[in-house]
Amino acid sequence: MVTVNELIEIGSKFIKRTRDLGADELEIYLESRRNFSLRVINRYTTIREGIDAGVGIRALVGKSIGFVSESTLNEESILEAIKVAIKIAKNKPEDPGLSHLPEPSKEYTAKGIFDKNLIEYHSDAFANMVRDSIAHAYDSCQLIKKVDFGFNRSIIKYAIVNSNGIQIGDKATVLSAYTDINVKKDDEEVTGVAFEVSRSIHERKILNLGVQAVRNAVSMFGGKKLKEAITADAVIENQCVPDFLWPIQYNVNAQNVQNHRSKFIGKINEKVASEILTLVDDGTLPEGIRTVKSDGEGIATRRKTIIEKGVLRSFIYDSYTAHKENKESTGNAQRGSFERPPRISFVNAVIEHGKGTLDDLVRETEKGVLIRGYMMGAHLTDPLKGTFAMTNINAQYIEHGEVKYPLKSITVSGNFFDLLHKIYRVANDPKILPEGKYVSMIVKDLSFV
Amino acid sequence: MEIGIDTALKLGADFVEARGESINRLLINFENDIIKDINRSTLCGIGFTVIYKGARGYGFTTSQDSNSIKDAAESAFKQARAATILSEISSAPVDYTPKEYSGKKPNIMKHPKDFDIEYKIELAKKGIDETLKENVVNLRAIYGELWGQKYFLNSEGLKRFWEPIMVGLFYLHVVRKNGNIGNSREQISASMGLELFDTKKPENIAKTSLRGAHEAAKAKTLKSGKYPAVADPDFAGVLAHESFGHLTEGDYVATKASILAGRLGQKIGSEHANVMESGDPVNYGFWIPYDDEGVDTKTVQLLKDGVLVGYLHARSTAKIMNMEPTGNARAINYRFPPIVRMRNTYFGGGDMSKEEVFELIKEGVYAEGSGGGQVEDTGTFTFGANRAYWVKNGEIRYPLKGVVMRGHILDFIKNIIGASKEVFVKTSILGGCGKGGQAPLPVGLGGPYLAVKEAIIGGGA
Repeated sequence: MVTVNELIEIGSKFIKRTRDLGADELEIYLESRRNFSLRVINRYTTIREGIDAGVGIRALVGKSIGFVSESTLNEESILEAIKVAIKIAKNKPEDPGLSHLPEPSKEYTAKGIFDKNLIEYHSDAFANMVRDSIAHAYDSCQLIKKVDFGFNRSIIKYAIVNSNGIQIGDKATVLSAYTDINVKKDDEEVTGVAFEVSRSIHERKILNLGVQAVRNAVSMFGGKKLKEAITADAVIENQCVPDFLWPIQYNVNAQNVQNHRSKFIGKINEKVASEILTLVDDGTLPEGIRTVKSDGEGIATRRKTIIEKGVLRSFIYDSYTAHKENKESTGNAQRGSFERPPRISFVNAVIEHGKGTLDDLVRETEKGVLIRGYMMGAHLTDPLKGTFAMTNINAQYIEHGEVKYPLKSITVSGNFFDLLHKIYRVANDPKILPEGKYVSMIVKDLSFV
Repeated sequence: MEIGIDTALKLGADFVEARGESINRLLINFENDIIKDINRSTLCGIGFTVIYKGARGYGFTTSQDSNSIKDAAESAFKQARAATILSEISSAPVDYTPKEYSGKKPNIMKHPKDFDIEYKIELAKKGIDETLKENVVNLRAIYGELWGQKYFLNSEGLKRFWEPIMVGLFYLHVVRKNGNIGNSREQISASMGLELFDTKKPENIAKTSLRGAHEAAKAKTLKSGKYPAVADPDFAGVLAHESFGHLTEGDYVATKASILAGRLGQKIGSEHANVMESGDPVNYGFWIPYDDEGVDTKTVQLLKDGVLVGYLHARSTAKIMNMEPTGNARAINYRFPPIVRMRNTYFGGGDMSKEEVFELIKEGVYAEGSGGGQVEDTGTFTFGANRAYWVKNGEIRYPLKGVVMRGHILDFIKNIIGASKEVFVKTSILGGCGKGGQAPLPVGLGGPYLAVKEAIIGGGA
């Protein structure tokens, strides 16, 4: 694999020629990503590994910008791609809101996201780990009908160079593993899921994954249907919380705010949620899955409070939307890969923790539903109107502080903006998720069917 | 690619396949008459599939130097060796005697690579200028193209080369009239050059979308319930692919995950129910002469007069089930090994005219195009119609709001009471199939005008 410095070097050669090539400003994002991916469905296995490398180019001509991506680090091909980006910029109408590509940040502080240990692992070691995890699952339960196990490791190196002096890059490792297990007894088939995502490897967690999914599945045997629609407290397990709270990101996205597509327009320093909720977007969180030195435009990632004790404090910006309001970018231009231009999103959303565990939240609940495991329909929430209806297939009914029985596929519905005010209690059981770091919580009075 | 195959064979591979590809995509996005985005991308890479002791490994690279290629082939071998630790179902390929593709071939008159961006902008604008009128509160238009080269070589000496191509135009209109909002969309894509738009005029595509939006704005709500229905080719195609086709995929069938496993030869639909699957684009489908294992793509009949007569296979699933490969092994790009995927999936035509199909419906619903939905692997589906109408005595009376068809695919195929002779198959530059995280893979969908005696329709409430 190329080094970060080599990526910077390749890009810099073209930046020097920005004007000669016919652009006013030029930005090159270079990426090399080594992916290992293993998937076992029942006894059918696929393992793949490879290196993907490419560039995403933004060229500014006057007040127009052109974007081109290409899966290459070959210099001749990059040159051709730059020419196409310039041609595209010349063909697009002017955007009066466009100013300049960003300038270097004073300080880039994020670190600790590369695990040397993880890159030493070979395919056989991963395959053995997955085999053992699945074997433990079978040992723990004789009723397994289906096992779907996925395991991925990525080693990512990137660099961003632009004609305003940005020359930054970083490397990172990510490991993710999930399993989805079906267990069948007589005619009843139930499902349990478990997953882990991290910057480094914790073998024990991977080995336990299968057993954990089985335990979650088995706990669903004998599930009952709710006889009638009820209003009750929702005790939401940490890993399900993003499914409920993702519209926050939509509504604090400065682009949506500026395009009149946010409910939070004009609400800075106003109360938008219960005082229990404090949400920080921390681009420097060492264990955060999206932490890197810079965002997708080369601006230093940073920590900023979005909601403080229920009060909205900040929107999130890239350089384009920040310029429109005469502000500084918050370092929230994110790239999924070299194939796409940067888009505004959280780096790592972190919910400030409270006290206790998920069990404590259950104990404190008089009548409620424990929401955990597999959620469906989160993407159907209307982030502007706030209406949501999600189905959970691993829920359990709580009465007098105890889990009474599992619930067959329940739908929880309500309005997201009301839900924010109904957050009543947060636990101290942080879990790292692709979206950030989340804790379990109680939300008062939601509707269940 | 030969270097890589040699590398893997020397390491002890039993079988090796190499795929090389370079695919260019261009998307021009308009909001009203302003260009919002022009994105061009090129994905170019090589991948190797290695079979070792029945286990499969895959390695890929975007670099074309011989060391990177050797590394990718070596990686594929290592992954196959690691997979032996876990694999219990063999991935070994069934024997295949190579044949040439014998279906329809595109005859490209105006290859998109020979035309400037300006020309394509003007094409899309023809539809925009024609329909950006009063009452239109939002118009989205997208021009898209995909073209490139695909190379295939395996350790049995099979060589393939072909040049995939697609161009397409999409319009979406939102209108507001007397306080009511309505929206509708229309797209046409095909494995053709820009000559597609000489016959399918951008103005007409956009007008169809605008007309649908106006109708939606004054549409009536239908009470939910069971109604006779007619599905247009687009709506029928979505059902053919999403609800029926996936159930016939060899990997689901071989692992018994599909409800159609073990039902070959059984009558599961009415005598008017025919489903075909082909690499032949038929008319506006996606042209796929060879699959990603180099197998020629023939037309496979899945359902014949209501009887289940076929499954879709890759070489490995065909071997497990002791059947012939059907040319259905496809990968979205060089990053993935091929898995069983569909190509162009459509209900087969009947012997009626379109009018006769409508006459089968005394009172019911006509669903035109799909507005999205979801399916479960049990065969249950929910699909919204892009446009829908109330039909009485075989005639379209008035537009309906937010029509959603629900049900089980096996009920749907039992309820088919007639099909038109004419069959339309269409691909899309925007969407595609999303199986196994490999999305969106271009496919074609279609069918005739299909009448069903009963369908569960959810109204606009």
